[in-house]
Amino acid sequence: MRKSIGKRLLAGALVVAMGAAGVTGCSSKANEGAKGEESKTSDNSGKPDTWIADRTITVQAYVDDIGNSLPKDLANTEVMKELTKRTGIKLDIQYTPGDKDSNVMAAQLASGTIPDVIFSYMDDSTRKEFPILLKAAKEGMFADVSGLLKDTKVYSHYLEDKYLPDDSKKNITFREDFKGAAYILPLSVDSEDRSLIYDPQTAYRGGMYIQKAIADKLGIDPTKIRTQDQFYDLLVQIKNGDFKDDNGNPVYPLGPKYWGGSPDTLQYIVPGFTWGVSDGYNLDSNGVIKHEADTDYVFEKINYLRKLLAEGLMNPEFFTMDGTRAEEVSRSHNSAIMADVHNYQDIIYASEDWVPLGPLDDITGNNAKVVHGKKQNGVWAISADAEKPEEILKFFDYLSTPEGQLLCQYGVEGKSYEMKDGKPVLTDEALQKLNDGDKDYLVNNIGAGFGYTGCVFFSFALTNLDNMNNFGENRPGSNSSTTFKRAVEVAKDYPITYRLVPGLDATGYLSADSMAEVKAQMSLLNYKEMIVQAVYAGTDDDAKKIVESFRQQLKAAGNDKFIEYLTELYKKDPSSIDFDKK
Amino acid sequence: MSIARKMIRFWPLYLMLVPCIIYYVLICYVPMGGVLLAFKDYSFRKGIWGSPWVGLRYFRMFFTSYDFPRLLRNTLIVGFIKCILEFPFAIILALLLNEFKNEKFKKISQTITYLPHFLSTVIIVTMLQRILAPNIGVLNQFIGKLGGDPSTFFLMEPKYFFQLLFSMDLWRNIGWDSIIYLAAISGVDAALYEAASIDGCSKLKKIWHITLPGIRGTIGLLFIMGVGGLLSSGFEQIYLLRTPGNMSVADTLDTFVLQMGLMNGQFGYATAVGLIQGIVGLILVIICNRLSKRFTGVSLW
Repeated sequence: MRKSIGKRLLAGALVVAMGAAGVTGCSSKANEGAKGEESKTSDNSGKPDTWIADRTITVQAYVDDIGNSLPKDLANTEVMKELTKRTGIKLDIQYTPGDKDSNVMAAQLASGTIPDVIFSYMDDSTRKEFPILLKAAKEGMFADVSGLLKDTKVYSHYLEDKYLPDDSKKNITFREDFKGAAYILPLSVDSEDRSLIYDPQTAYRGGMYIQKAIADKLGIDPTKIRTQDQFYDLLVQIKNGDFKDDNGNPVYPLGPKYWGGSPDTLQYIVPGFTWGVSDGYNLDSNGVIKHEADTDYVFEKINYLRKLLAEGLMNPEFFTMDGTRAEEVSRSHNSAIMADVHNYQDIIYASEDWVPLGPLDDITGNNAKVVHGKKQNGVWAISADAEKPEEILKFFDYLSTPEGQLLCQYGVEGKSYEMKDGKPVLTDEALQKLNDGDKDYLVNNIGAGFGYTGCVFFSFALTNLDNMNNFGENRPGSNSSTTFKRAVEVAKDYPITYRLVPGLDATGYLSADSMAEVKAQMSLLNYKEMIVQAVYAGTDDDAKKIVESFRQQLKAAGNDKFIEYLTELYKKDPSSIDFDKK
Repeated sequence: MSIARKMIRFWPLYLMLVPCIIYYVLICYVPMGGVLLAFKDYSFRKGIWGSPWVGLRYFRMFFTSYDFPRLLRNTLIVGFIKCILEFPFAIILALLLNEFKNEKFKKISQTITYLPHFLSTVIIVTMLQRILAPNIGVLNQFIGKLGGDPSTFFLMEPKYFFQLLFSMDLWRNIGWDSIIYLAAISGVDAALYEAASIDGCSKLKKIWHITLPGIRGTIGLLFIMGVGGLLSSGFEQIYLLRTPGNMSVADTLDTFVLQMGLMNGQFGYATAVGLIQGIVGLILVIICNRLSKRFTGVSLW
C-alpha cells in the first residue's frame, strides 16, 4: 500500500513537472511580447535636443553578421548608453539563427507577427529575400512611412529625384503598385554616386589571386592574363611547372574560392563565355532577348571547363568543397590560383604570398568591372503594429546623421576616439584592439560598428554615407591602422576599372504580379548548377543531354512569356535591364 | 469493468497519460488545420482562415509541372530504399546478435552498431565527403593503391547516389532499429527452443520456425508503419548529399517542399505537396494493414 501511494505521488509530481515545463515555455514568450510594447510619453524638459522618447524599440535582424556580433549586454555598451542618453531610446535586438536568414524571415513573417522593426540583407530587388518582403509589404505588415520622410533629416533625401539607386527607388521603396506608400527603406546608400570611382583606400579587390612565387617563377605578369586562352595556357604552364604545396603534394593550378567551392566563381574563371550577363539573359545581334542556355555559348563554357577538369588543371572539388577544406587548401598553398578572395581577407593582407590575377575579359572584350550605378546594402521596415512609427523613424534617422554616424562607427569621444582637426582619431587602446582583432572589446565594451568589424548592427543600420568627408577616412582607424596596410597596397598596385551598365538583372522583373506562376517554376531552375552538372557529365553527349533537358525545363517554366514581358519593358526603357551587347 | 471505473481505479496511470494526450493534440493535431493552406492564397496578415480560397490550383500546378515525374520517381526510389530495402537488415542483425553466446562480445557488438545513430547527419555527411573525396579521400587512395583510377568523384556522379544513401542510412540506423527486434526475441518462450533442441532442430531451423514466427507481430507492425513513409524521403540527408552533379536524382518531394515553402515563400504550394505526401502515406498504410490482417493476422487496428 505504501508502495502504491509512493507511485501515485510520483506520478502526480511528474505530471505537475511536465505541465510546469510547458507553461514556462509559453509564459516567457508572453513576457517578451509585453516588453516590446513598453513606451512612455514623458515631459521632455531638461532633455537634450536629440531626445525622442523614453521607450524600447525591438528589432529583429535577419542578418547573420548582426546576429554574430551582438553584445552580451547591449544596454551597457558605451555606444548604447550614450544613444539612450541622447535619445531616450533603448534597443532590444533579436536574432534567430537558422539554415539561412531568408528562411527564418519567411517563417517569421508567415506567422503574421513581427516586432517593431525588421532588418534584412538586400543589395537589390533580385535577392531572394525581396519577394517575401514585397508580399509582406503589400499585405500591410509594414508601416507606411511615406508621409513621415519629409520631416526627417537624412531619410528626406530619399524623396530627392536622383538620390536613390534606380532599382531601390522603382522596385523596392517607391514601387508603382504601392500607390504612393513607402514601406521598405534601403540602407548604406552613398550620399553621392561614387560607383565609378576606384579608391584603393576602400576598394575590395576581389576575384582570382595567384601565388606570387609561382607567378615570379613563371615570369608572368598576372595582370596581363586577359583572355580565356591565356588563362588556359597559364594553367597548363603551372601544371607543367611541377609546383608543390606546403605538404609536398603537387598543387592544383586552379583551386576553389577561399570561402568554399561554389558555382558563383564562374564569373571570374569564364567571363569570356558568359553571354547572359543579365542573370542569364541578354540581347542577341538581332536585338532578340534570349537566355544563355538557348545559345551556343553554353556549350563553349561547358567544353572549356570540361577541358580544365579532364586535364587536371582545376581541383575536382572546385565547385563543392566545404569552407573548412577550401581554407585549408588555400592556406597550404595547394591551389596555385584561388578562384575568389579579396584583399581584406587575412590570407591576403597578412602575408605577401598572393597577388591578384586578371581580371579576365568579359564577352565584350573588356575587363572593367560592370557596375550599375549607386548601390544599397540592406533594408529595414517598421511593423504596421508598432506604436508611434514616427519615433522609430526619427531614431534611425538620428543614427544616420553625421553626429549619429560618428557615435555608431567610432564610439564615445574620449573613450574610443579623440577629435583632431575636426576629424575623429581612434585612441591608441582602441586602435590596438582593432589591429589585434579583439572583437570582445570592440563589441562588448565599446559596442560601435568600427566599419563592420565591431557590433555590425551599428554599421549596417546607417545610410547617406560619406565617410571621407565626414571622418577623413573610409573606415575607423584606416588612416592609422597597420593591419590593413597590405590590403590597401594590393588595391593600389592592382587597380581595376569600372564600367557603367545601367539597369537591373532581368530576373529581378520576375517579382511582377503577372509573373507569379512563371517565378514559382523558374525558382526551381538553377542555370549555374546545370552548368556544373554538365561539366561533370560522363561524356560530351551526356553533357548535351543535360543542356537540352534544361532548355525544355526553361521553356516549360514559362520562359517565352517572361521574355515577352522583358521585351516590353526593354522597349519602354532600355536602361531598365542591364543587357550588355558584344 | 466500465471505462469510468477503470479510470477511477487506475487514475495515476491515466493522469500520466494526460501530458501525452496534450502533446499529441497540440503538436500533432492542432497544426493539421494548416493543411487548409493547400487550398488558399496565403496572406501573412489575414492568416490561414482569412486568406482567399484558390481551390485546387496548387495541385494542378504540381501535377502539370515539368518536374513532377522526376520528383516522384526520385522520392519513390529513396522511399523504397529506406522503407523496404533496409527493412530486413535490422532483423538479420537482431537474429545474429541473439545467437552470440559470449555476452561481452554481444554487448560490444550491439553498442558499436547503434552508436552511429547518435551522430548528426551533418557529421556523417562531412565524414562521407572526406572519405569519398577524389584523389585524397581514403577510398580513392585505396583504389589508387590497387592500381585503379583514384579520381572518381563519387558524390558528383548520379549513378552512385542511391548506393551511397543506402549505405549511409543503413550504417546509421541498423543497430538502433535492431533493438526493438532483440526485445521481441527475448520475449519468445525459451521452452520452445528446448523442445526444438530435443527434437534435433538445427540453429537455422530454430530461427525459421521459432524466432521469426515469434516476432512476426513486431515485424508486421513496424513494416506497416514504415510503408507510410514511402513518399517521404527525409530532407536532411538528401539536402546535404545533393551536389550539382547528382541533383538529377537527389531532388525529391521533401527538398521541393523546402525550396518552395521556405526559400520562395510559396506556402500554399508547399503545403499542397506535403498534403499529397501525407495522403498517399495514409492510403499505403491502410492498404498494407488490410493485406497484413488478411494474410498474417497482424494489423495496427
